[in-house]
Amino acid sequence: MIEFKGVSKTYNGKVKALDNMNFTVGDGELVGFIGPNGSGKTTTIKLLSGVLVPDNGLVKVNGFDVNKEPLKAKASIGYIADNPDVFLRLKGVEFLNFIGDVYKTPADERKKTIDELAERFEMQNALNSQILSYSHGMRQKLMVIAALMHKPKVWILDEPMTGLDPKSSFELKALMREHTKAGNSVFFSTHVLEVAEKLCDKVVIIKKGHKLYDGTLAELEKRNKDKNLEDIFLELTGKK
Amino acid sequence: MNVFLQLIKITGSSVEPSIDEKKRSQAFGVIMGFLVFTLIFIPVSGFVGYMVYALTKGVVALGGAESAAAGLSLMLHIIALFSVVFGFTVVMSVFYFSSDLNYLLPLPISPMKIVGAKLASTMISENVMECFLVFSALLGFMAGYGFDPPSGGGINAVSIIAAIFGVLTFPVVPICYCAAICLVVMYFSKFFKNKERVSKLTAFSSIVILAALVFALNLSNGFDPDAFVSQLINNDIGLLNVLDKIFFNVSLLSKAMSGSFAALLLYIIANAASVGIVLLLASKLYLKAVISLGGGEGSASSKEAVDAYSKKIKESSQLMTYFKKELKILIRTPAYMSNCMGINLIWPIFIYVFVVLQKQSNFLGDSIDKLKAGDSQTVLFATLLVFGVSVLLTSLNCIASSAVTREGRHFEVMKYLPVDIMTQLNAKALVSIVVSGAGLIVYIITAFAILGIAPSFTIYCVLLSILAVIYSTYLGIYIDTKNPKLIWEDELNALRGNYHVFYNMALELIVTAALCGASYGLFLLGFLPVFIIQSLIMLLAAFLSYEFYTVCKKKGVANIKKIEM
Ligand SMILES: Nc1ncnc2c1ncn2[C@@H]1O[C@H](COP(=O)(O)OP(=O)(O)OP(=O)(O)O)[C@@H](O)[C@H]1O
Ligand SMILES: [Mg+2]
Repeated sequence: MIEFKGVSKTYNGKVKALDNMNFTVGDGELVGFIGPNGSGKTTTIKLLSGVLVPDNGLVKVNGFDVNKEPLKAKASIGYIADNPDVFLRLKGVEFLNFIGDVYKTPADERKKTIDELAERFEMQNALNSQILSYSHGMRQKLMVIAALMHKPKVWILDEPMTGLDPKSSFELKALMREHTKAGNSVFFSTHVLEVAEKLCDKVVIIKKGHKLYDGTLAELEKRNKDKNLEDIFLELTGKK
Repeated sequence: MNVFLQLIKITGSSVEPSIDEKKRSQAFGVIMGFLVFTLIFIPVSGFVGYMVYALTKGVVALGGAESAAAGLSLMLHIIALFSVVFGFTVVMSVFYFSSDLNYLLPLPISPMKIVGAKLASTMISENVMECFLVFSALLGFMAGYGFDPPSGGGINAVSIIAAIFGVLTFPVVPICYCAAICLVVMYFSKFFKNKERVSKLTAFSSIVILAALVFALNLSNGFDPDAFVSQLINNDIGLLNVLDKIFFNVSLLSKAMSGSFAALLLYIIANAASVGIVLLLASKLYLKAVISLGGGEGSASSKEAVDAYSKKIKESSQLMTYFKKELKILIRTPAYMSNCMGINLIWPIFIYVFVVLQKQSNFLGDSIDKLKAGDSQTVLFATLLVFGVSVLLTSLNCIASSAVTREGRHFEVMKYLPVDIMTQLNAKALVSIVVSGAGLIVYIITAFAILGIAPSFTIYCVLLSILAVIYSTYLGIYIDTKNPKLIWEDELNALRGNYHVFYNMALELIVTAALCGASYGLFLLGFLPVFIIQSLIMLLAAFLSYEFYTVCKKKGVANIKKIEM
């Protein structure tokens, strides 16, 4: 469950990146977040993960206010940032073990998730070498494994498919679907409209910090008869 | 040429703080900059200048114009040596491990130009402190020699031109040596699997070489100024003769400073030639070596791989796991390994030099006898010395004062992990306390055991040292939370471009000086027995540790929360 109510965010007192943004992601919902470059997606996601503090408004995850009970809120999120280049000097498994300790996941549960996901993502060999030697996609997959070890109810992912090969992105999409089927929430940003179209129950469309649309894809397509999502998106965001 | 200047700007730009960082606390920066300048730069430069002045006076009085520049050339050799030792790690990380390479290499720019730009920006960034030192050395020489000394000779217009050239170009030859050696080593290191290990080894051997050189100065009979000056005049110091051949720029500059126009010309040509040679080497060796960096691991079977990673999955507390993570990063990053860990090993060299210098007067022997006899003034001095060295060692390895800066671009991780910020700062503090504390305990116990000092005083000193380390650590961390430099291109930049290291040292020098003054004052008043003063010092150290821990917990954590990237 994600609640985002009346949130505004300004960088350095100048750049207004988000203006009175509202949306919710319910349990069991898989929600895609789309918008042109610089529209405020990463800003929204950083506000959810506690990296940024809003100027005003309410950000709640799993019932915890991210700014009032930050540790509890953070511990209940599986977060993947837009840049997977962290702690490059650690080996893959050392990074996972660090994250496991930080989120207080018991060792046997850690091992179970790692075994399963490392196989699905073909990362078993790589886990024994330093992250420095990974390709971008491998780093991304490591972040996915790390974010899921503590079995968070809410997943928040910033462009998680970037750089993944077809098999890995298929696996990630499958994981996201399995997760919401089990009654949890997933919120992710993407530029790939087909992914949003095929995968999501709902989409949130944003432009220049303002929400343009928030609802099911079926509803959106009903409103715009005979148009595909790409046309609708381009029209909404004023590129056409 | 335009491209070249642009490149220098790019490769050097990471040294400059961003406008945002600048704004965040300008007044703090100005005040601290002033302190650093008056407390660190000026005294060191003053010392160097005075040494050269005194040596030149002595040498001229004894040996005349012939050997007037002997003292100057000794000091320049020492400066050149240090430039080489520190230059290695700088060149290595700027040339080979800097992240701007990702953008530069695909561009249609010749390797010669890239290396040229990197060489120039290395020299510029290394030059600030060195400029001061060379300037003071040259000034000391000019003052010591004079325009018209009774012994003939003297400085002239050529000397002044040479001085200007010297201050601006002195690091050229030492840095070119580093660059040439790095280019060759890295070229051949394609035969080794792990480049980082090679670069670590290079950094370490440079420390070992420095140590070896200090020992080779062969002052084992103690330091006698008169004998030393006559040795200087007669070229009797073997090591200097060797160095003279290596750093040919030193003797040329010294001769030019004594007024030889031919030497000045040769000096300029030699500098240009060394840059030329490095660029030539670069055009042949650079690209291949830098491109082959990185590269994957050999593939084990998945069964073996699973076994290998499974062994590593173990539980520990948040504090411990964070501590281990920090320590691993410090050890595995070459720039941190040499500047934060390796630097703790140079202290025995200082001690050795000190032991040698005092041999003639037997100051140490007398003091130790007095210490054993319980002479109160000596006991007090020893106590203050332990405090000062502990604080200095901790701030010199900059583990604490770069604790937040080292996070760099992935600083936001500190914010989204479900770990209390203070716990994270404590883990960072623990690394500094363990590394510095372990070093100091080993040094203190070994030294005191060799000297046969009473166990009770040893225990007191160990405790005092640990408290001093804790206080210095939390102060360093607090300073770094104030305005960490989070945008840097390579790790060395995180340490060098980070003035917090100096700020920390400056503040600690003030506190230590105040402490020494106050306790000596108390002692002179004479109504307090020394063990009371010692207890007061211990109490004060405990108070400072607690105080800065609290400051970190309140203000440091708030600072971290305020930073948005
Ligand atoms: N650290 C920052 N400082 C100042 N302005 C920023 C900062 N980060 C983002 N912005 C500004 O905020 C706005 C929203 O940026 P954001 O990164 O949220 O966009 P985005 O939707 O994630 O874009 P993309 O699709 O390119 O990832 C942009 O105008 C950007 O310039
Ligand atoms: Mg983004």
